[in-house]
Amino acid sequence: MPANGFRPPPSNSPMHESDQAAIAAVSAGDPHAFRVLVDRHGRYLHRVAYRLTGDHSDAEDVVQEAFLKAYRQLGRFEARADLRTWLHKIAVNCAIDFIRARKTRAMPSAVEDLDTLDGGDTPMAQPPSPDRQLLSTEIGERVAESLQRLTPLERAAFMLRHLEGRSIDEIGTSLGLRTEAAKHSVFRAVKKMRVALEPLVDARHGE
Amino acid sequence: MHLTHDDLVLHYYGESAAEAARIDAHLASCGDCRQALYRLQRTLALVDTSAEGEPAPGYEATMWARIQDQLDTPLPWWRRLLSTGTARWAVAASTAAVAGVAFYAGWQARDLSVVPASGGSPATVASGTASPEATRERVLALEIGDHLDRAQFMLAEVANGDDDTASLAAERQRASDLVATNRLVRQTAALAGDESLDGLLDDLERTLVDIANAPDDLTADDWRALRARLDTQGLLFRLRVLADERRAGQSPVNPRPKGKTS
Ligand SMILES: [Zn+2]
Repeated sequence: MPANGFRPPPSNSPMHESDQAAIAAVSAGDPHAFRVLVDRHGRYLHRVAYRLTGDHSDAEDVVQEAFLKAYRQLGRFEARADLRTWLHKIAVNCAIDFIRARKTRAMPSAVEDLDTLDGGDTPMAQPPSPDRQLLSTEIGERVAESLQRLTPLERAAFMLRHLEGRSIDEIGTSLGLRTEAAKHSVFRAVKKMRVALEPLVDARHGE
Repeated sequence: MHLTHDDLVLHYYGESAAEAARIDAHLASCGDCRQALYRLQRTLALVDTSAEGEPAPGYEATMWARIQDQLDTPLPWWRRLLSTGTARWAVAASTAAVAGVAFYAGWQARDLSVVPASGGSPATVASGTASPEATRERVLALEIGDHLDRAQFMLAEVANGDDDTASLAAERQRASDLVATNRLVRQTAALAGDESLDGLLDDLERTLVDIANAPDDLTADDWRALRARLDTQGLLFRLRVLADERRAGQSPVNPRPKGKTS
């Protein structure tokens, strides 16, 4: 499994002093101390939420929700745990709630159709040209473009599997899908990523 | 036959399960498929380099502005989930339809001592000067809150308990009691057309039934798995949010607006 910057830090890492101080102040009745946590963890949570929702505005809603939940639940946060890990988990749960609600609202039948589709029938942009050396930032952009081509459900299922390390069974339960449907969403997402990104792999490999 | 795309993906994520032996054996003997797996690994590793999702400068200030005003008056989240549900709740509560009446009757027969202080004394409510409809709504609100409190406390004990199955017998009985109330509350929620709350109660009911029906010889692993599901569904979390909101004085059922009659 590749390392990446989006997984939360190990849960035994010591909590930052400013986090501790902020939690203590909030608990003592100063809600404005909560801003320290927004400043320290907001961007990180936004990236987490964006990866699941694929939309900045949606991600902002999710992060707002996550912070409000965290605020209300702060008394239950255990001091020996890692705050970012805890916030990460809340944000992922908020994103799942959001995606579920969106799914119910916007795509009542899309889920059922997944079984009959075999991938590859979704229009793909041209695979990136391999005949030039790509800087890592360009690769990052290319990856981002490829992710934009996933359907919201494919993105959510794929990200929960790939970045959040959730099992396909769990993903099905969280998103309200049958296991087979969750599996197919992941398969289709990975297939799209392969079409878009394997030429890059080949290009880098051949250099 | 070579491995399929699906085989490779399941293998990569360690989810090949029953197919693991076949896939491993094939990979051991087929260079082409090993190469395909290698390319898949490198491709998926690229995903982690994605530059996407970085918010605009000033994000923290924007986010703070969005949440700041809500910190003193907490818990609009569940209110928003209920969205238009409050009006429908009021209607359902005041039409004295079957579920509501049954529910009300059930409440009257119950021990009142656990009704939270924020709602005032139930005796006062029941014998006060308010109209019968208003009283019934208030009672309904208290009852729903009471039920959610009980469910929350019970699930919290299950979730935070140890792996020893010794506590199971007691929890089974409590779960069984809660299932009965949950069904009445759910009927009322369904009657009010409140799908969000209905959904939460549906998840709750399934979990309660699982606990109530847990076999005597439940293994520690099964018990752990059952408890882990509470976490997966975020059920306890969702219940807490709702219960917190009610404690903050925003019950799931809003009093009907002044001047409106049923
Ligand atoms: Zn092969």
